[in-house]
Amino acid sequence: MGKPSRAAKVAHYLGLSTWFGGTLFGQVSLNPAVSSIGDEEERGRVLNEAWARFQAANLPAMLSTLLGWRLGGVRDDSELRAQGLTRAKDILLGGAAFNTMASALLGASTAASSRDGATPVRSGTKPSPRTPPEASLALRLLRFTGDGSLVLLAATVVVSALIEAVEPKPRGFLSRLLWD
Amino acid sequence: MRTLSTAAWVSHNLGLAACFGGLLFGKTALNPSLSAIDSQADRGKVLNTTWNRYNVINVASFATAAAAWFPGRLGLSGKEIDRQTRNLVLAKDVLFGVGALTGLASVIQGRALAGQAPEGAVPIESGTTPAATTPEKAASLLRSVNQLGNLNILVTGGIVGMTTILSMKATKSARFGAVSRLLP
Repeated sequence: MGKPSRAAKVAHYLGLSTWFGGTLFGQVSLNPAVSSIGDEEERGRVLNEAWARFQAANLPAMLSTLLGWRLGGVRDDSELRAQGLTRAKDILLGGAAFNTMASALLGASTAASSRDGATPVRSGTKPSPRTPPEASLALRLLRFTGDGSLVLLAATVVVSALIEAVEPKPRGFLSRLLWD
Repeated sequence: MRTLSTAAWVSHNLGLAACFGGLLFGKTALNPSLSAIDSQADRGKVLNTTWNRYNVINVASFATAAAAWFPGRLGLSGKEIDRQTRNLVLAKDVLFGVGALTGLASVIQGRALAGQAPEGAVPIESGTTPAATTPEKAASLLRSVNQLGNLNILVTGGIVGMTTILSMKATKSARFGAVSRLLP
């Protein structure tokens, strides 16, 4: 089993921080704040543009988290510390990636239902009476996938810290020799 | 597992992640998107509402990370591992200090910017650029909030990176492992 490279582990944690913190900002701060804009179509335009811009930063962040975990040796290192938590992190990361991709697709479908992404909305996750029916459904689903991403990412950060707090336990004589 | 130090580790990492990613969203996604709003005053209102809402989380997150770092760091200074680790610990102290100063200054300046117009509706071009109609004082506050914010992202990202490197160094050190077993 290989040790993680310093660059891979730093990229993994910077990516995870971007992914979690960015999602948190968007969900708890931007989504409700757009209701202070008077025009419902402008709310939709700002939301769609801001989330699309974030996806451009979030996709590389998500990839660096997942690639650092699977290919950069971070997962191998975690297995030496806590196998159960490592498996839990596999599931959490998979779930977070699924929810993030689903949110991105639902966001794109909401934006596509009006010209320039100007879909009328009440707030980031609440449709207004003027929202087209297909965009209303996408917004309602977005509430679940968005909250799901946030919860799964918070749990991933917690589990990652729990793994780091455990000392590695090399298995077998050869592993112990190679570790030091 | 040492309960108290593990809880501190978890809250430290959650706090840093919330700060770093949140700042990055605000800078790269929210600020440039505001120009999609026609009314320049509404742009200012959304900018101030969104950032002031997140600043509550941001300050609490950074304070949590710092509160988890400093007590543990008083017990384990990095000398237990090697000179390079000791220097990294000191560098992380400095980054926390700079991060606290720039973060607080940014929050204070942000509040002052919001206070320049009712409901924070200061006319702006985008989240980083004042408009021709922006009053001079508000324009200067907007510029300084942005510069402080840029510095804050770099510092918080630096702390995340340094935390990872320190954790890797701690793992490799038998002396650190022995001393850390005495942690609560």
